[in-house]
Amino acid sequence: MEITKTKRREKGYFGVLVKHPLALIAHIILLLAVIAAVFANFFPADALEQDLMSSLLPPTLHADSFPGAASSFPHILGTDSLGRDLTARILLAIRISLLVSFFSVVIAMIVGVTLGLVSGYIGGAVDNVIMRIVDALMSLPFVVLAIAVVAAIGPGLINVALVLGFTGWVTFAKLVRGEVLRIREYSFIEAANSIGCSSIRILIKHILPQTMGIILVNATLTMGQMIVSEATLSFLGLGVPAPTPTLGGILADAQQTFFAAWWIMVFPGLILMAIILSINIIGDFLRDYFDTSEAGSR
Amino acid sequence: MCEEILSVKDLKTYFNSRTSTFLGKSPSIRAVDGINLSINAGESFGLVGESGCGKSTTGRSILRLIQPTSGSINFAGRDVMTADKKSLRTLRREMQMIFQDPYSSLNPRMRVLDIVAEPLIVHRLAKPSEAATKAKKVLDHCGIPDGSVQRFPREFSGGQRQRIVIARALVTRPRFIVADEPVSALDVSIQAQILNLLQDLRDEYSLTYLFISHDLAIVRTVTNRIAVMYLGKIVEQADTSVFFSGPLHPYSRALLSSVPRETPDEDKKRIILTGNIPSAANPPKGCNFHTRCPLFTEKCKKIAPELIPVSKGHSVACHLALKSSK
Amino acid sequence: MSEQEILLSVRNLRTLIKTANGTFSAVDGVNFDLEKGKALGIVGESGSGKTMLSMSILGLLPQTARISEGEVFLNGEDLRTLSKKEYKKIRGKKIGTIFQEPLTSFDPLYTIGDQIAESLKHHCGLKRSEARIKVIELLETVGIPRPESVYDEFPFQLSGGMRQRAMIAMALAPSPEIIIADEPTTALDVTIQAQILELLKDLQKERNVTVLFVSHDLGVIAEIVDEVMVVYGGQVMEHTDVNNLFYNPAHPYTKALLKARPTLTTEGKRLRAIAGQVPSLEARPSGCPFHPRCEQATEKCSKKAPPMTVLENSIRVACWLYCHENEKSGEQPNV
Repeated sequence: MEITKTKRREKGYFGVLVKHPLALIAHIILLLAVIAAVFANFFPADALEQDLMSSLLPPTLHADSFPGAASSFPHILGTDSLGRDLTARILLAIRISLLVSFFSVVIAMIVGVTLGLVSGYIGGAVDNVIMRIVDALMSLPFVVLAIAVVAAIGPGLINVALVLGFTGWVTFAKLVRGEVLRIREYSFIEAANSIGCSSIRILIKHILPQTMGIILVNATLTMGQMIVSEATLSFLGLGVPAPTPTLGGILADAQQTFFAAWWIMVFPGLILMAIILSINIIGDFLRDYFDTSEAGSR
Repeated sequence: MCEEILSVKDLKTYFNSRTSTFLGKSPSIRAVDGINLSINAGESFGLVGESGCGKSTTGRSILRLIQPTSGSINFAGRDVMTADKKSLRTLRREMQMIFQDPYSSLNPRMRVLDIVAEPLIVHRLAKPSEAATKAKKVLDHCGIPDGSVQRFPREFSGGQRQRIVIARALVTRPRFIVADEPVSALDVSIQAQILNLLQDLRDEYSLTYLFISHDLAIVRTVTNRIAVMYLGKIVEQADTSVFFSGPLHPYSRALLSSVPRETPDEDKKRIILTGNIPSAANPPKGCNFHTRCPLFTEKCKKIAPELIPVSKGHSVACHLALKSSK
Repeated sequence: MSEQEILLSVRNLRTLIKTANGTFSAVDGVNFDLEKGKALGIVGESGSGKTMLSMSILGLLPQTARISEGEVFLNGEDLRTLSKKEYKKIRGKKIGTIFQEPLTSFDPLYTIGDQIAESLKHHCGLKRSEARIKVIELLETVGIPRPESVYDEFPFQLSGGMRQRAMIAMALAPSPEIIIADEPTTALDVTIQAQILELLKDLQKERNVTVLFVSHDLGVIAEIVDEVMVVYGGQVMEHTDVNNLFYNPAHPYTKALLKARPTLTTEGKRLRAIAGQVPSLEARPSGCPFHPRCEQATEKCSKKAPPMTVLENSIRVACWLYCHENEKSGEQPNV
């Protein structure tokens, strides 16, 4: 995907987007996922209501016909081993997954960008300390670290978001630091110094805006990672505890009954894949859109 | 005209070179190695030399954009060298800089008007609305019309960008400006515009310039006094007219004779220097220039000459020039 | 002059370049002949198309650019009909090149000597030992001290001036018929520039090489060439010999350019600036490209580009001031 500066200026974001069908589809899928997450409550079936009479029903377009059925709405994607409607569970799971990943990315971004800016601009001992912490965190597998922390502070929606956030900031810090080191060599930074700007003003007004593109791109890519990590944690039983559904949690349950009920694994799996793929494609699109080589160039 | 506005005494700026030698301690680079300057209000003082001679570092050290190693800098009765952060910021209202590369010295994500108004806002000299009005006025003085101030820097050509850089430097009404190669990135037909603008503004805003350049023809046109630097030291200092009618230091002579001739049949006796500029990390003993000097003697290898006045306002750092002028 | 004497001949050359905003002519119908043994300077400001012109002749255009019209003859051979491979061979053997930044023109991983020897082995069929002797000889010719040890040094070990000398040695190695030098001294300090110009002048005299010298600096041009072509907005404004350029300039642009530059002899403190901006490739005016900045411009100038007119002393100038439609004039490719 090659997006020239002129095109971007003239056509704006959507003008460029319609010329890139793959990215457009990815945007639509993500939009649908967000709509699903927001309106999950309005789905006629209840995600939590158990009905052992209807356990492991295959996908169908017909409503349960036996007397005393919990739902009069058809189990479009079937039911799980406890007879809960899979469609309703997946919709709710999308909401939880998006929420957890979104907030963990926000936390990671705030921590990472701040430390990256400070590290790159101040340099010296401060830079050394921050970067050694980054190196240490990077040398540990992300999931192993998250497992250790969740095991210590216990599972739960907020805890998972915090754990993911506080382990995911390192890439932000490293990227932003690198950008700061590059940007501070431009003479408009020296100019800002010479007109008497304070360090904080230079960081916020002159350096940060140049790094926004790369931050946004990394945020998108990290969000995809966060959804996978959350699913991994839930799959391992360390994520958001039952009965709240998450995509990883549903998949974990599904493996026990996979040979009897394939649908419990296939549908959430496909949706997880579609969302992550879309987010990654959007990330790539944003990277081209905000091609950072522009800063200070002729 | 004779009131001294800037006085620099024995200014030294050393850098630590990154590459360490085998035996651990790396030599420091003596970018500026003991410089004395005295600039009067209203003057345009030229600092000339080849790349790596320390002329830009001198300019930046005077503004303390680079921390000097030692020496004293006195600006209009105030000590710049020991000024704390707060008083340094106040000083910067009055001491400004114009940069070489108009492409990288403007924040690409700020509108021109915001760029020029920023110094006023940083120093709390005006409310945002007032700042915009003042900035527009200065931009107009510098030749950027009112209609284009809401644009981004990338929409302007090199010469126009340099006008914006100049407007930003002038908006706080400074008294002293360091202009670091302000036209060397510009086309010939645009250079003249900017040089004329700088001269007009000097009268209008009663400015004092420290004009740093490698181009002798430009320095001759815009300055009234000149100092030639070689390897971190001033080798000759004189009134511009005196200098161009008869430079005394062998390096100054070689530099002047190296300027390409202006017309094809101009008879030019050229002094071609052999060799390259030595490294500032390891300057030669004695006179810095003796390794390339066509006239050097034994004395030059051992004793570094001092900058000594030979006539009123004309000083040279050369053992031989002293002898010949006496 | 007879046809044999002309080494390089460019006919109605037009080079298009594609940018994000469309396709533009970087070189817009350029004609010239260069006699054997002469040095031609091409002077222009940024965006004048001078570098694109030299790249077009060298066949080294970037991917986004292509020659759309015209011919380039070297010794009667049409270079535009060559394949990439044949062009490369010609470039190595018949055309020597010197660029602005010698550091990027050398491969950092090979020694200076090996890189120069490579072209000798390749194009002249010399053996390794023979090539080494020849290269050391060449390094000596271009004034590099201790040529034997410099042979085994890497590009980064040399200073800018020395690298430029090595580059000149490399250009001279296969004894080319023409040397194309694009801003060869722009990155150098004045004292080093003076050394290199002196060297180029001596070499040109001794070896009688033909030189095409591209520069933005009229002073450098005055030092080294016999005739000058002033380009602006992709077109040739004036093609004249170097004395006439300085003492008898014809085109208003040339006149203005000469007055605008600060010199060591200018009287007074004010320079005669040329108003306006240098047009960018994408915003070139119609008609004569200089008309918006020209003090003598008339309505005609904005509508139609003036044809090349030949004045006495074989000065060629593209300006309506000299062209009177009724008289004998018009496109005159053969000078």
